[in-house]
Amino acid sequence: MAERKRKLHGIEPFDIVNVCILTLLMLVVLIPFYFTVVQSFMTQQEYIMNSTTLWPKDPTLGNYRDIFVASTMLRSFGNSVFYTVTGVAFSMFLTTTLAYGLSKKDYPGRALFQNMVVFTMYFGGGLIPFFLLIKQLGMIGTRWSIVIPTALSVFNMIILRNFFEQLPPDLDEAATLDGASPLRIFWQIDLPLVKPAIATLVLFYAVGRWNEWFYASLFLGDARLWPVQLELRQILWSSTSFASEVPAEVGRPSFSEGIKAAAVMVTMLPIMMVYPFLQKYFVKGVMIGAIKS
Amino acid sequence: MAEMQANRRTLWRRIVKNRWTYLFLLPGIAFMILFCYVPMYGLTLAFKDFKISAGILGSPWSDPIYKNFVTMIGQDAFWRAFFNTFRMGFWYIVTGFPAPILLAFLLNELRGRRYKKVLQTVYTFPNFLSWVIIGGLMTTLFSSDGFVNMIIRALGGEAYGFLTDTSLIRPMLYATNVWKGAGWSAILYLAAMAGISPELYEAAEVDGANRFHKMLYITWPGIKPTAVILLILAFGGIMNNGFDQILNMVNPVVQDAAENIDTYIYRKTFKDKPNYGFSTAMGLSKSVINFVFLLAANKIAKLLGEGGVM
Repeated sequence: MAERKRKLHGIEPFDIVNVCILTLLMLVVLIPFYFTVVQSFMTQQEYIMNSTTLWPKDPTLGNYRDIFVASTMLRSFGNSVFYTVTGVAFSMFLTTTLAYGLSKKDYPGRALFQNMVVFTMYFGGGLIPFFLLIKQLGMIGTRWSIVIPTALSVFNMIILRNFFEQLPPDLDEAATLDGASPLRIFWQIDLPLVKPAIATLVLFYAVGRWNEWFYASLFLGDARLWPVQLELRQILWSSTSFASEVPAEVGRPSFSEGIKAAAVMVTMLPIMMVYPFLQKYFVKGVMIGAIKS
Repeated sequence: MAEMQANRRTLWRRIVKNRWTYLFLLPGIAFMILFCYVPMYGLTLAFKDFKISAGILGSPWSDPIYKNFVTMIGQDAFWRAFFNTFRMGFWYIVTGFPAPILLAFLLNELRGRRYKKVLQTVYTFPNFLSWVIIGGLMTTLFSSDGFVNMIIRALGGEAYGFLTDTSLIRPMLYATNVWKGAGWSAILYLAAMAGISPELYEAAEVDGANRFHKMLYITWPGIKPTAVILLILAFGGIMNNGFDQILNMVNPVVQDAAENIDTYIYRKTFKDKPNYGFSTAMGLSKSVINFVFLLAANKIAKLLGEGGVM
């Protein structure tokens, strides 16, 4: 009888412990976000008092006001949108065409092209020759230095190639007999068939582009072209306090730690807004990648 | 002779027949030649005295040809960064490899489907943030006026400089790396677990297996191939850990304790007075060793029958 009851409810002590551990881990993930939110709404007075604060007594939007008044966050935000949109478009152009070409069978030079592409996953010129190349191409200081040179992820391309390879070949043959040009077959038949993979790759590329700061820091001296991550990095790491540049509101000193936290929140916002809704596509993407490679 | 000509003609005919394929390949291959293979040629810089006015091609070969490498070997800072790369890489793997497996085991045993989904969304989220942002989050938490210290003070302790302690900075890096990536990596294992046939579990239950038996004798063997291949790949990439993270989490006070080859090359080139030939020599050394590691990893994966990656 007792045995049957346990089966009915099916809850063992392990289940309870498990839920507790996993919930605790969730808190560990969330805590840094929580305290950054708290700090972004804090005033300087409260922060320096060093009291124990789990929520600001007197929440303020002042820090958010300060980043938008004094910093060029809005401009860099716009730059990042530009880099993300044009960058993803260019990345997808290269990725789809190359993946499609490589997926074709039986053309002279196939092995050469395949090996040429895969080799770059194992060996590269490294940072300095790459930097000097961009310099020699005259791209330094231009928006193109961010959009073009890092556009192709071989890993993403191979995922897509595997998808194209699995399309039934009779499909193309039938379409060719019907008089469709190869370009039309690519655009109107084959590409729509791999739509789920395309969606995932767009997401991966977009996140990568949005998070880009490193090459921007090497290639772009002019802060007017900076993406938002580089702007944020400047706010977080600048030795001269950013807060001193903020025109003060009457009766409220600007507060550098609060501004930093607010800047982190603003930069994170786009990913935070879309991630819960798109998570399943990301997950699908990694599963596809795992199974196929 | 006639046969060769015929061969050539059929080859040409095949090329013409596939002309569209080449058209599709053109942009991507041209891109790769320009941005991947030209920089590989640029590695010759390791054997040159770089002069900005002369460019890579025009700069004279150094005398002796391995001069930049001699400079490199003579530098204590290089060796420190070199060994630190492996030490840190090793600990990145020791912490970063088992964490997602454990997490996947726990998640797999969880009953509530909806709660599982919520947890997964939370766990995987940090993976999509840049290290710039995570650097900011962790500073909020661990700086001397940060919230961890606030709690320590509230409990009557002394504030502690978590981010300025040379012996603590590396563990902090490993921990935040797990914090960022474990949830995401766990998904691979969860996918492998989902692929295990439920009949195996049912049969085991009939034989009287409890939950831990099932985890040990069914779930673990089911994900072991995935784990093995990921471990091998991790060792193949042992030299590539942490560059972005270190640049965003390590402040100048503790810089030497968390310096690896990549950050060392970066700082030497872009923060000090640049010596491109010397920097390229270091980069080339790294690329070659890294290549050997990757090939070895791939070979081992193949020998173990896991298919390899190449």
